[in-house]
Amino acid sequence: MTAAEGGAAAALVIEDDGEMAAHVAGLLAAMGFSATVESDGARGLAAAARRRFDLIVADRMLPGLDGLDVVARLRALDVATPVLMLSALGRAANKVEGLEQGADDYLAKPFSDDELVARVRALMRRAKGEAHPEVMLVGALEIRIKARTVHRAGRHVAVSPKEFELLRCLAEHAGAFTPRALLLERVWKLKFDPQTNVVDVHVSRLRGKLDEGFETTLIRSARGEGYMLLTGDGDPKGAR
Amino acid sequence: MTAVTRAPLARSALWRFMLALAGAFALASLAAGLLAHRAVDAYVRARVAEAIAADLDGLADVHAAGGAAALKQAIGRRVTAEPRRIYLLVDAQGEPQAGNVAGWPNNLAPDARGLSFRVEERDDSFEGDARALADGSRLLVAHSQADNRALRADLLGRLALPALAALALMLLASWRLARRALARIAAMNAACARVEAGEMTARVGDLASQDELGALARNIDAMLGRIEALMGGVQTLSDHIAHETRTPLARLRARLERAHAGAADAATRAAFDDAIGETQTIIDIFSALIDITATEAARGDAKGLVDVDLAGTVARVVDLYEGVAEDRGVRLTARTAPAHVLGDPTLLMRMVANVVDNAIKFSPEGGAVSITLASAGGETTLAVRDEGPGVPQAFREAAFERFARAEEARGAPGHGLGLTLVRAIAIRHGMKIALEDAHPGLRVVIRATA
Repeated sequence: MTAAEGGAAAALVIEDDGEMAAHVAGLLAAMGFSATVESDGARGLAAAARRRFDLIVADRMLPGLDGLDVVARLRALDVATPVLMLSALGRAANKVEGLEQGADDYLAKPFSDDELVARVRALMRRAKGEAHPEVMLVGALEIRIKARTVHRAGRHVAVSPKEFELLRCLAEHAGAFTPRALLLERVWKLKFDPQTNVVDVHVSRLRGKLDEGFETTLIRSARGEGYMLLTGDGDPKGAR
Repeated sequence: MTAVTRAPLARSALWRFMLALAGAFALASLAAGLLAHRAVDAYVRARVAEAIAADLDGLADVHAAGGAAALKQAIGRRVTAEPRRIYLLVDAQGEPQAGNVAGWPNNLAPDARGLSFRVEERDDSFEGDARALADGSRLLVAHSQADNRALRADLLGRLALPALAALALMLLASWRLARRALARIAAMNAACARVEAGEMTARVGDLASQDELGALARNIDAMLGRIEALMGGVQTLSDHIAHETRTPLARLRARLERAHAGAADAATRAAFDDAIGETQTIIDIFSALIDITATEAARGDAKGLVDVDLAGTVARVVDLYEGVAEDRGVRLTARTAPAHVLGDPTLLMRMVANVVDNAIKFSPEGGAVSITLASAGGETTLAVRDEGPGVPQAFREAAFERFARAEEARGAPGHGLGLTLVRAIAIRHGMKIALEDAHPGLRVVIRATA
């Protein structure tokens, strides 16, 4: 997540609501970014054109130039910086529109901190091109992408195709919470959250398979909002 | 939701009115015909009676002047000239002396006026008069009634034909008038039904005509416009509330998240967790409201619609919910055939998922939820059936309204917006949705016509 020059990665936050801008900047700072805040579209665009950023978080509804326009102009200027679009309009149609305009991901306000962090992390990983490693190692877990096999401490764990996708997504965010919405989007291609917590059931089954025969559990649930694949030895069973 | 927009002609109030009118006209024509018939009949009888009286007077004069012999001669001449009439002369003893019938008809008074009798040998009825002469003999003159009847029949025919023609003309005119009026009424019913089905912009549009139906159409359109404005007002208000509260809600949530991160102990963290959970509930409700309004607003907009195989959508929903159903001891089955529709894949997925979600939620343990998808005759039917408590008949329409929840469902999770969104998505795709009794349980039926 470090910029080419060596120092901290640089992020640009374009958001007209001062409190939200500070909050997002705070979250990004905790992830190791040095964040610059601009409060309207035109100034945001100017800032992005002036120097290189590793990430841009832009609100969709901005005074002057709106978020979609900013992204469209940036892309026209061949600026390929990953853009996470924030908006108060969370509906599917706007989401598609935002992505078509060149945004890399879209997050509806109000969002959970975990979700913003997870999406930024995913964007940065994608930008660095490490989306498709052949083997993912998380603690004692070994996930082979091409062979689609899972081993825990050398013991083979048989998982269904959906469970494999789920584990892979959790592994990409290992050590941090992966929000439910992100799992629904990546594993089931769903852009909405069903009433019943369907993800919970799938995670429970995956957890059951991973933990069978072991003293600890590798997946931790967070406030009903997301799940974390632990990088260490895992939590004692029943303490999740 | 499904008002009858076009009643068959026989069940139409207007058509029944027209028929009653034609019936009344037919009765009046019949009565007038009868009256005319009787008047002409009376006229004919009077003329006949006069002719008979004149005949009798003449013959009496002949008798007075020339005696019985001259009378017999005169009668002979008359019989030859008028063979259809009856002439009879009998002496004082009643023995026939001249004429063209065998004897004095039975039961006839010897001297009377306005006689009516039958003569079997002629197979005819007659009307006539008798007269007693000075020497005690009696004279009878009578005219055939066949002539009278012929005249009457002729008269009936002449009267009936124009009356029947007028009746036919009236029925034809009624039918054409009724059809025009019915078409206009059908247009009004169709507009009302479309609005009832959720298409708030539907109107009759019959604005040019100045008659009562035109006025009715204008009133209906004005009323529908008012309903749309009121509904729009409600939706705009809820939309505004949802939009305007999102920024403060986003800040509230951000502050709670920061406070949670900085909390010193587990109890405080748990309290912040609860607060964040409640905030999320509010956010979810507002999001659902905005989604519903946006979906309703997009109705009829073909932008972003692609070919979607509903069988694939159902398969994905089953894939998503299989685990949940199994955990709850509910059997989830699907029987599908390819069914292509033009739609928004995300919205359609959400529609099916919502319905299946509900079905599983309200299923008793050990119950079954079955999804069927079939196409026939250009109509695609998607049905989701559960074995839960069902929805009372009286609540089946209201169940689609925002925040509507049956008494029985108060305890279950959710905020009464799921079915509203399902219907909004159905309407957006030109589909019809209905709740049906599955004996036991509920069947949600979504129909799409190609």
